[in-house]
Amino acid sequence: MKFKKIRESKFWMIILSLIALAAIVLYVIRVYNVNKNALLPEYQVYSQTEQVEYKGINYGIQSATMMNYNEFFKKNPQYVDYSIPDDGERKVIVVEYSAELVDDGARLETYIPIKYLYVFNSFDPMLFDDMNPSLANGSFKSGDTFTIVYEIYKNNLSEKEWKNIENTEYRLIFGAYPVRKEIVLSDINRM
Amino acid sequence: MSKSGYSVLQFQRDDKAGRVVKNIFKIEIKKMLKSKGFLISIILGIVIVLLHTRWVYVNLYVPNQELLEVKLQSQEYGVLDDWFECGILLGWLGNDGFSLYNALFYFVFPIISVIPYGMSLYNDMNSGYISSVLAKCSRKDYLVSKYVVTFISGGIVVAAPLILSIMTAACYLPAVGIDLLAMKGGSNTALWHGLFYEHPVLYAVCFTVLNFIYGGIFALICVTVSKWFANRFMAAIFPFILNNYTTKGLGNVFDEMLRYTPGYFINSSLNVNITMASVMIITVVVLGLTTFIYYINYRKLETLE
Repeated sequence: MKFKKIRESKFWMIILSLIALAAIVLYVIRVYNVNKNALLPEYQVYSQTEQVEYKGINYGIQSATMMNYNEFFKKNPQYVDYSIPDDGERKVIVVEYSAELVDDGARLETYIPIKYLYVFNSFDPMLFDDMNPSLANGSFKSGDTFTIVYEIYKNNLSEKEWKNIENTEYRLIFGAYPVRKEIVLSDINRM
Repeated sequence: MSKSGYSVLQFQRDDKAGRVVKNIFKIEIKKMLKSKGFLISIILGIVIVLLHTRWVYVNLYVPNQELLEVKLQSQEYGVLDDWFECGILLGWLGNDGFSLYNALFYFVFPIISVIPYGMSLYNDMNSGYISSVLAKCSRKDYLVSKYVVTFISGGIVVAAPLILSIMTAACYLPAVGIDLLAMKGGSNTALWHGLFYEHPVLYAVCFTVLNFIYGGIFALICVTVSKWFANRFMAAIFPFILNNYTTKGLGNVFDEMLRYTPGYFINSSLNVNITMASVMIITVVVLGLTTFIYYINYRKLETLE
């Protein structure tokens, strides 16, 4: 049957409309199910003073300090700046963690990223090695502390966000799924 | 009956000028929707979307689900810690930075947008159809209708694949923003970056609207410059050459200018560092300039009035 004839036939138009309606309903049900069954993590938010149990170890925040990048190396001349000189203006947040063994089979997790605004930052592994010799030589014990320096780049932010960088909320992330534990850094020392 | 199959007798003269404009507009829209060029562009867009959807499903979605299965069976401590659900934007053609289909779509973007109606004014003039039309309506009414319909045609053929793509992605990916841990976000200075993480569907809608506008502009550029070329093929590929010249030519020579080129910032996967105000200014300037040249080129259009 030619398309023109189908279009003029009420019967066929009703059939086609019903098929279209059924397709729409099926599509809506499918989209609804996909969203209903999405595997999203359960968020657990902790304050800076709380301990977070993660992979059999209790992590706590001993201190968090924010300063300009150059200032950090002035204060700590023993460390080597591995970054490229023209990386642009930036700040650092120096976070000192304590780690206490809870489960004997646990492994220390040192990959703890930081999240702020819509930015997710890892850290410089070479500087991490330099700052934590006990982790490198194997003398690290339960209850010891280790330090991670997070870099915040102006280039990743808008002018407005950079101006407000000291008042931004920072979160340290432990794991992604099924439970995502986050420590909110609410008490950062500013230098 | 004209060559294009539309009788000029379809125009019903009315005292009210608005009625005439409406008639021309309706005829032009019908002409556009029934043109082979429109069908070709839509089919081309659908083919790209289907290939892209298959690629994302096979290469991103299925491996991610398989990884989850493997991890769920493992007894290792914290083995699931680096797993995350794929968000809908991962499967959207407009934002895909993994496959070549996004690059392909934006490469042919100016060509797709001009195929349906970019050459219509050129064809009308060469076939003599324009003389018949201008005998029944004013030059201004004809040109305004042609301008609007061309813009809409270019917009529809580039927006339709993007809409289809988000609809197909919604069939297997939840409407959640891309996880920050996926590190697929780009900088905080990219256009509408807040929507990217929190309202991905709205983000896709915003970019689709932007693409619609630039699809329309490319089609308008084609119809505007078609008067300058004796060969219609040259006019048809002019927006394509212009787009490549600005993005891959000038943009690469003047590094800082790259982000201000439309061919660059309409592609959301590139995470271009640009503000909404800059996009609006550029769009108004480009559209204004195109409209001005269109007016200059066709204000002395030969008529039988």
